[in-house]
Amino acid sequence: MTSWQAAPAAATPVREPVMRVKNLMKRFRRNDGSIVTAINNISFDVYPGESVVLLGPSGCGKTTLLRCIAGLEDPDGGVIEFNGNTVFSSEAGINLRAELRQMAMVFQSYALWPHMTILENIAYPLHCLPAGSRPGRKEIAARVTDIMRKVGIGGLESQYPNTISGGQQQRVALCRALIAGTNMVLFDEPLSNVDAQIREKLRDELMEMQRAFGFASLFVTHDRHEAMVLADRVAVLNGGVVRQFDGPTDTYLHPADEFVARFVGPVNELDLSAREITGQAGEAVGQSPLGPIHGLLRAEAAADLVAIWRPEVARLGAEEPTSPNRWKCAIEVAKFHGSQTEFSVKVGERAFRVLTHGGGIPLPEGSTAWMSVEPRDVQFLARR
Amino acid sequence: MMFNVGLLAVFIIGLLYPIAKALVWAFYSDGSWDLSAFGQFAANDDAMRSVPVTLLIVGCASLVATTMGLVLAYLNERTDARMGLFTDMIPFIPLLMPSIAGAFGWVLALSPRIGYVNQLWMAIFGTAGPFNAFSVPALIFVYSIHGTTFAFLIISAALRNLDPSLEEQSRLCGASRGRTLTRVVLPAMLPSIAAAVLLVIWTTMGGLAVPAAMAQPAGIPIMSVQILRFLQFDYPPQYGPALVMAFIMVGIIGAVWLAAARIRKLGRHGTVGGKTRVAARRSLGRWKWVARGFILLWATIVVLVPLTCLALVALNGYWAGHLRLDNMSVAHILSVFEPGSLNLISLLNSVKAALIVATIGSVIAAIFSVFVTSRKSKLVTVADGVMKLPTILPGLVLAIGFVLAYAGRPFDLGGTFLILVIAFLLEQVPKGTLTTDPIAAQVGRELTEASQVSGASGFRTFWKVHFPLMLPGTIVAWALLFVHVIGDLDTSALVASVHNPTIGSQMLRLGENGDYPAVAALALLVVLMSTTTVTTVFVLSRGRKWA
Repeated sequence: MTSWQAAPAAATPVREPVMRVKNLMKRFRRNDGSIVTAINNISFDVYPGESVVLLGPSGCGKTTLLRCIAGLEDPDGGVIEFNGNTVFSSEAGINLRAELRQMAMVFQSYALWPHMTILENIAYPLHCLPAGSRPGRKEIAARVTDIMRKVGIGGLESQYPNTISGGQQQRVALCRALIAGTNMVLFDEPLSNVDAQIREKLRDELMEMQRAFGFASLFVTHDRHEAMVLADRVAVLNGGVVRQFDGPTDTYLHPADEFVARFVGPVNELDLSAREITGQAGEAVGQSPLGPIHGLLRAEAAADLVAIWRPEVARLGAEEPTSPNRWKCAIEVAKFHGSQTEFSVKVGERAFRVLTHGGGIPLPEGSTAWMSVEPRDVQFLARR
Repeated sequence: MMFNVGLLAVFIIGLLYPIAKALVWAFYSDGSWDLSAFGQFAANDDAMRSVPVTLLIVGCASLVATTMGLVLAYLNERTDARMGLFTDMIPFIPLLMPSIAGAFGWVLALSPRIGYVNQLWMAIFGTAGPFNAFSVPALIFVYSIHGTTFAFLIISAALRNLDPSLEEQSRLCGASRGRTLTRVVLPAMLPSIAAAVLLVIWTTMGGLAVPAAMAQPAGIPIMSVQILRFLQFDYPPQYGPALVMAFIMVGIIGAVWLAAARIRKLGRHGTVGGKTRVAARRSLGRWKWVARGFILLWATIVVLVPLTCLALVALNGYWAGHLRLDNMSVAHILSVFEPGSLNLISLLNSVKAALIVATIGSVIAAIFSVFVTSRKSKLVTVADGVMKLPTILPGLVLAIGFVLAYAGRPFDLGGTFLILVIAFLLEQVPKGTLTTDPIAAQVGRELTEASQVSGASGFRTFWKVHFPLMLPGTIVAWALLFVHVIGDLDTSALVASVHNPTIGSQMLRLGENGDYPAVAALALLVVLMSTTTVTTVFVLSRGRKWA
């Protein structure tokens, strides 16, 4: 499934999206007067309970997109709907201020107010409700205590943010986001400030809490591993455009173009000068600098193409294989990682990477071997 | 948002109106441009002489002050002569000893014959003391010791931030410490040294206190005093030549500013290192104590000499050749403030104005800072620049505009308490924003946005998030504003009169009449109130639970 406007496989057709973004545009004027299009005609939906991740390199527009949705930046065009209500529409002249959108957001720094206790931090959104719907002080305290107990930070009510751990701070930020009863939370790279080990733990906690509370999430990150683990669907952004919007497996195995393929994981590639369709399901043969290569065509016929395969689908062996894609190679470097071995090999002057499970292949550095890859694992993608 | 824009607009109009009015008043009459004010200025010998004399004195003082500041900063930041308490204390000296009190203190100390330092000299050496408060060297000396504080502040901060690896690299290349200092440290610090020179020139050239107390009685023509003479000693007041002098003063400060900016732009200077590493301190061995003695001597001279002299005169109730310790009594100070006296009225006026201006002004400064730091549009940047004009224009120059704009028609506020409050607010709020701006920037965009996303209104976000987080900084701004207004002379000299006297204007009047015991009593009170305020704020701003 490569259409990024389709509903996720898990969602049934009758479900209405929590949030809908249509044709969103945002431009910035640089100091030299030139215009930069940060978001270029982006559309997507987020469904109840779903976790959508916006993934892309620095400056790709993902944070700008999140901030436009939250109401912290003013888009130049398009529509944003939240729970069926239009919160932004350039045509209708609607642009609800951030404080009126009733969205919740967890910031990169968690943005806990250092002068307020944990209880005051979490209770804040309840105090901001309109007079008619604002609960009484006792009820606010009860609700805060209840949600704190549910996320496992009960007893910290009177502490200040600087006296609790990073993990507890994340939970406080999440409690504050959820306390007013929202069904969707925006996350702006909340795991980027912590080291790798803690990040993994916080990520797992976050997923656990999302399952427990059932809220939908829109999560911004530049970390592909984080995106793959957290997402029901990943939107890969570059240059203000969504390059692919798919489940994490499809995004990894069937990238829409060269950029997506490179961004979500390591790749081997060969330029194609010509190709010929040979079968029903896009089976094709391309002409590469290493001779003919068999693969699957996943781009428009007129596109400038590149053949791509992941290091873990390539094979290495001393015997000549039967696969049509096979090359004699020199083993340059072999690095044993425990669960897998990473080989750097050269075919002529061209370098490739091969990942094999375990350390069982007896191919010492300096020896020659055969590298092969099955045609179904090679994709002919548009070069971008 | 609308409230912020409105407030900023009122402020900017309040500032630009007097400036525009001053320009029109000086150079426009009967429907055409009229440059006769330049002729009036040129025809006045004292006015003409005051420009080179002021330049000479201020130039010498800035040289001495910057050198002293550099020496003190180097001793404190790069050698083991450092004294932590001293470093903490220095920034507060100008606040504890406002120049109006210090200037009269030095008059009492260095006056020929009866100055206490000269009396001490006489007692020790048996000959007349050599010091003369009413001379060019004394002026340069007092200007210099005031300026040293500012130079020290800027240069020591720059030394602290200078990447130590620049110096270490030089040492590793075989350069001695002396060579490293002259070839690496000083060139790298050039922008800071230029900034120090600028600040010293700005504070000394625009200031009225020192020349009014010391140059005026000696007949040494100084620009700021000459401006005052045009406006207060001549009748009718000669606004034209006074404004010409004000523009010359602004021009000189502007030229120094441009030179400093040029040095900064050349970019051939050191940068702040990425790592917050402290440079290794040079061990001075036995010289450490000499260096410390020097530092302490400077601090003593700056604070204790004028303060002791003020206290002696105020507690004695008179100032004469012989010091009588048995005659000292607080009653002498109290007698200066008889009910209904101008002394008491001026004291009450200044305290009232300081309380009102500090309280309203610090909150307005906090509001402006939050607004300006959270909006990145060019219009807001320009508005902020215009609003900050009083931080670069001398107070005396602004005061001329305030009098022209608000004392006469259509406002008719001359001689009222209200014109004092308006003038002080317009002048002091921008100075307050210099303290609150960095604190507003520190609050961080995400803390603000987290409040917005939580559903809070702009007012609630300011009240619940910005204000409490900025409170320590706002309290510091409050103290600065309070101390500035209590010890003000530059604005008071023109805006206040016998109908609305302030401590500053009253001290000026008493000084002209030679009533030094009353001057000393008022100065001592200024020091007392400033010290109490600064100390209280220092204690208060450290008592945060979440720090």
